[in-house]
Amino acid sequence: MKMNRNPHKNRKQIGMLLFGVCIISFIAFMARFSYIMLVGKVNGEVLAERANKQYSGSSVLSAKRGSIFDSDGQPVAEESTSYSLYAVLDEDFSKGSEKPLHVKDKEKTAEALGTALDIPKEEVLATLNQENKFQVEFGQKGANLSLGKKLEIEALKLPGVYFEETPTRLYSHGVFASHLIGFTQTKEESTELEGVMGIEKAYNDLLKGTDGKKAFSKDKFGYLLPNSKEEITEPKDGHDIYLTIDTRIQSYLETLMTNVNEEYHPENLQAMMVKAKTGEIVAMSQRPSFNSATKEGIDDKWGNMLVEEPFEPGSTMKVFTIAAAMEAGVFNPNATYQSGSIQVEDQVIRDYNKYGWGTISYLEGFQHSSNVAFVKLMQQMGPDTWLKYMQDFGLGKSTNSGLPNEQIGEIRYDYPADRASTAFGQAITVTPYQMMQGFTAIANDGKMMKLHYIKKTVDPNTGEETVTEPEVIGQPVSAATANQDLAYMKTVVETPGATATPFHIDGESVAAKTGTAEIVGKDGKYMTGEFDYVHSVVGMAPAENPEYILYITMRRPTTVPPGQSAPGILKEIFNPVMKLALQYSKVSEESGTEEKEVTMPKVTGGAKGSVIQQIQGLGLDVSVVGDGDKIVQQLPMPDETVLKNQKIVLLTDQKMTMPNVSGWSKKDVLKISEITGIQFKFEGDGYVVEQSLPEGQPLTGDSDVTIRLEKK
Amino acid sequence: MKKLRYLDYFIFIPYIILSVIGAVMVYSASSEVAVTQGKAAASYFEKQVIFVIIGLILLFFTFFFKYQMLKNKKIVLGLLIFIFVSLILVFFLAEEINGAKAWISIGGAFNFQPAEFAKLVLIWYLAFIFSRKQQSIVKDTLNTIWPPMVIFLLIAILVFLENDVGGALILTIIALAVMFSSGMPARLGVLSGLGASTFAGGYIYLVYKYGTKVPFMNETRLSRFQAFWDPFKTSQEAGLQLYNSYLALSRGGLFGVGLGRSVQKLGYLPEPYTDFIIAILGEELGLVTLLFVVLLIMMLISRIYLIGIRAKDSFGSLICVGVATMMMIQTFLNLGGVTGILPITGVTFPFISYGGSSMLVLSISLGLVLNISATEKMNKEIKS
Repeated sequence: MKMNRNPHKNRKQIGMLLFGVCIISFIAFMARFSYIMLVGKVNGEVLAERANKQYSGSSVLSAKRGSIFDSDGQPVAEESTSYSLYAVLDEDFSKGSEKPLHVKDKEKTAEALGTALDIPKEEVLATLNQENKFQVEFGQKGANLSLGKKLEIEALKLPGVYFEETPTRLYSHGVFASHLIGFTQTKEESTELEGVMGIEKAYNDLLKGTDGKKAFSKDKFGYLLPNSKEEITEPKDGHDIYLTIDTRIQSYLETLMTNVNEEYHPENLQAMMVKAKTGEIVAMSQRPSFNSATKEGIDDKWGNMLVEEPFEPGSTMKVFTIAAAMEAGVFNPNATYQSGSIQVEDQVIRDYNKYGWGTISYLEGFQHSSNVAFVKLMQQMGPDTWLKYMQDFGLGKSTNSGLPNEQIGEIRYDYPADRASTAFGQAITVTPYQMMQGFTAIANDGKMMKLHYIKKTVDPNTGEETVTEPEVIGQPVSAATANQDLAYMKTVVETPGATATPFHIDGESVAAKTGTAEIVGKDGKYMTGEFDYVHSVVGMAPAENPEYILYITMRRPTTVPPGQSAPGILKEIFNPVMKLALQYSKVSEESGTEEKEVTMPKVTGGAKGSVIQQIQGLGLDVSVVGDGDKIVQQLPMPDETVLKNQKIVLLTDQKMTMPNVSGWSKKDVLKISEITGIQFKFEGDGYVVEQSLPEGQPLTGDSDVTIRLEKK
Repeated sequence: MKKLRYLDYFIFIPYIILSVIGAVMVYSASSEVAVTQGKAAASYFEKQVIFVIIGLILLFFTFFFKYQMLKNKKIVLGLLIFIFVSLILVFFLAEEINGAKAWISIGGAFNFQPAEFAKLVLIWYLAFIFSRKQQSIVKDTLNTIWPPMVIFLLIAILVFLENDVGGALILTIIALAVMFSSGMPARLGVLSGLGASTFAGGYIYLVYKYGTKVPFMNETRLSRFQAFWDPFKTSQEAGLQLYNSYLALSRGGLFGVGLGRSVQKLGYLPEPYTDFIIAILGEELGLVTLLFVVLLIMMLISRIYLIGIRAKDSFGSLICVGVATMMMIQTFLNLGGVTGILPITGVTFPFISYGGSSMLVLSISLGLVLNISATEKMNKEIKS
C-alpha cells in the first residue's frame, strides 16, 4: 500500500473528508426537519391529530338528580352533598407553596380531628403516622360528614386536611312509603346515584338527568391552555316528581302499621289508600318495611309487596262477584238458599263457619260472607260470564303501574271447583294494587280509574310540567250496579252480626267488606290454624259517594291475645286512617277559592316581634302560640306556597298558650294541633265561634279543648 | 489590539447570533418550568445571559492569549491533571441528576461539569502531542499514537463511569478525528472510519435483533433504541421525548406558532430548554428560523474545518479539527435525537441549549479557533 508521507497533506485530506461529512449531514438534517414540519407525518402517523388528542381534556358536569315531593310539595327525597375527610401526609405536596399543604403537626391535628370526629386521638395519630402514604382517610367516622361538620373542621384551619364531595340522597321521613319510593345507591366507579328500588328505580332515567361536559385544551398538568376556549355542554338536571302521597295520612298510616305490626306480629301487613274519583294513591305502606334514611330493615323485604306479591284475596272478591251477578241479572237480594255447604263436582265447598245460617236470603249471605251464596251466584251467571267480569275488573292483567317487577297473578279456571272458588276469592291470585284498581269502579259509578302515584313531573330546566290526569280505563259495571253494591257493602257495616261491623265510624258512612282468605301451606293444603289466614278489609267512604278507598291485608298475625279478632286488629288501622282522611277532605272543601299566593319564608330562630312584622308585611295573618320571644316552629314550613287568607301559626320557646281562634277555619285550628301536638274537639262545621280555653291560657293537653264551629 | 483586525467574522457573527437566539429560546422554554419549580420565571434566562457574557469574556481572553503560550507544556499538562482530578472528584462530590453523576456544585449556584471541559482539554492535549511528533507519526504511526490514546481512554472511561454515554461517545469521536488528522496516512483514516461506521451499524443491527443479549446493552439503553424505532408505541414511556418532539415540530410548520406560544413546553416535552430546545424553537418560530439556525451552526463548523485545513501550523490545525468535530458531533447527536434519526443521547445543542459548562467550553474553544485563525492571517501577512 502506498502511503502519503507528508503529514500536512494527510491532515488536509482528512479535514476535507470531515468538511464533506459536515455539509452532507447538515443537508440531510435540514431535509428531515422540512419533512417533519411541512408534511407532518412520521411512520405514517399524522402528528397534528396526535397533538389534538393529547391536548383535549374534558370533565363531566354532573346533572342534579330530581327531587321527589309529596302532594303538598314537601321534599321526600332530595339530593344533597356529604363530605369525606382525608389528610395529605406527603411533604412534597407543600413544595413551592408558602403555606404547608400537608399535615405538619401530627400531634395537634390528631387532637383536633379526634375531638371533631369523635375518634380516640391515638387512633387518629396512628393513621397519620403511617409510612409512605400520600394521603389517608378516617373510615366511617370520617365519611358522610354534613356541611356543618365540614365547616366546623375547616374553621380549625388544619393544614393538610381536605374534603371530598360525594352526592347522597336525603330521605327526610325515615319509614315512609319506603318500598314505593325506593332508594338510590352510588354507582360503582363513579359518584352517580342510581335508583335501585321503587320510583327511584322505575323513573331513574327521568330523575337522573343528563350530565353535561366541558371540553377544553389542556397542558400536561390539566390546566387550560392560554388562548383556548372551553366548550361547555350544560348538564340537564333531572325532573322533579310530585307524588300523590299525602304526608299527613301516610305518616299516620305508618305509625298505626308499626303499632299493629309490633303488637300482633303478622307475617306481613299491607295497606293502600286511594282517592276514589281520581285513582290517586294517597298512602301506601307495608310491613316489613325499612327506614329510607338509614336503610335499617332493608334486608327483611326487598320488594314492594303491593305490586310484586300476588296472593289469594278471599272474600273481598265478593264485592266484584255481587256486582257481576247484579249486572248479569241473577242477583235477587231477597231470594233464599240453603247455606252451609254446596257440592261442586267431587268437592264440597263450605261456609267459613262450616254450618251456615240455615235458609237465608242472598243479601244476608253477602252480609255473613257466605261462600255458598257466591258459588250459586257464579253458577247462575255461568263461568264464562264471571271470567269476563273478573277480567273487566282488571284481574289477571297488568295495571301498568310502572313500578318495578309488577306481577299480574293468575286465575285458575281449569276445574269446576277452582272456577267456583274464584267467586269468593280463592284459586285466584291478585296483587293489592289490582284489587284496588277494581274497587275504584265500585266507588266511582262503575268507572274504573287508573291508579297513579305521580301527580306531576316538572322539568327544572324549562319549568315545563307534565300533569297526570285521572284516566278511566274501563267500565266493568253500570253506575246503578256500582252504587247498589256500595249500599249492600254499607249494610255489611251497619247490620248487627254482619262481618264488617267493627269498621263502623261514628258520624261517617262507611261501606266495607272483609276477607278471610285461606293460605296454602307447605304441604300444598290450605292451613287450618285460627289465624292462618290473610285477613283483609276494603272500605269506601262516604258510602253514598266515596272519596276514599282503603284496603288493608294482614297475613297470619302470630301474637293475638284472647278475645281479639282479625277485624278487631284491622280496625286499629282502618278506622283512624279513614277518619283522618275524611276530616281533611271536608276541611279542604271548606277552604275558599284561591287568592294570591305567597311563598312562606323561613322564620324559625327569629325574634317574635320582627317575625310578626315580616309576615304581616307579606299580607298574611299570623298567630303566635306561646309566650317566649324566639320562634322555634312554624306552619306552613319554609318555601311552601300559602294563600293570603291562610293563617300562619308560629310557636315560640317557653310555655305554649292558646291563641284567640275566633273566626278561624277548622283547617287553621288543626295547624295548632299539628304544631303543638295537642288535639282539639270540634263541634259543628264552618268557622270558630267559641273556644273552651280562653286566649292566653296555657295549653297543656291535660284537659280537652272544645272548639265550636258554625257556618257563616 | 491589532489582533482584533484579524477576527474571523464568519465565526464570530454566527456565534453571537446563535447565543442571542439561544438566550431568548431558553427564556421562552424555561419560564413555565421555572414557575412550576417555584423559581422566578426568568431565573434560567438570567443565568444563561450571565453564561453568555462570561463566555464572551473568556472567548476574548483566549483570543488575545499569546499563541505560543497555548503550546506551553506546563499549561497543557496542568490542564490534563486538573481534568483527571475533577473527573475523579465527581464520584465523591456530585449529586445525581437525571441518572448521571456529572456535576460538581460550586457555591450552590453554578454546577461545574468536568466532562464538558474534558472534551476541550482532550483536544488541546492531543493537538499538543501530535503536533510535536509530526515526523515520527508518518514513519512509525502506531508507536507514536498509542500513548496519547491511553490518556484518551482513561478520560473516556471515567466519563463513561459517570453514566454519561453521550459524553464518552463524543470524546471517542473527537479523539479519532484528531488522531486521523494527526498526519498519519489518510487512507488509514478513511479505512478506519469506514470500519468504525460498519462496526457501529452492525452493533445497532444486533441490538435490534437480540436486545439486551448484546454486550454493553441494558434495559435503559435498549428502551432508548426502542423509542427511536417506534416512538408512537411507547409514547407514554421511553418514546415520550421523541414523540413529543415530533408533535412540537409538526405544530410549528413553516412559520411557527409564535414566540412564547409553545404548548409542548407546558409539561408534554421533557427538557424543553436543554436537550429539546430545538424542537421548541421549531414549534414557536417554525421551519424557516430552524433552518436558519442549522445553517448558522453548519457555517460555523465548516468554517472551523476550513481554518484547520488551511492552517500551516499543525497544532492550530489539529485544534480546529478537534473543535469542529466536537461541535459537529454534539449538533448531530442532538438533532438526531430531536428528529428521530439517532437514539436520544441527552446531548445539548451548542450555544442554544441552556447550560453553563457547555457555553463556557464552547466559547473558550471558539476563542482558541479565532486565535489560531488570526495568528495564521498575521503570519501570512508577515510572509507576504
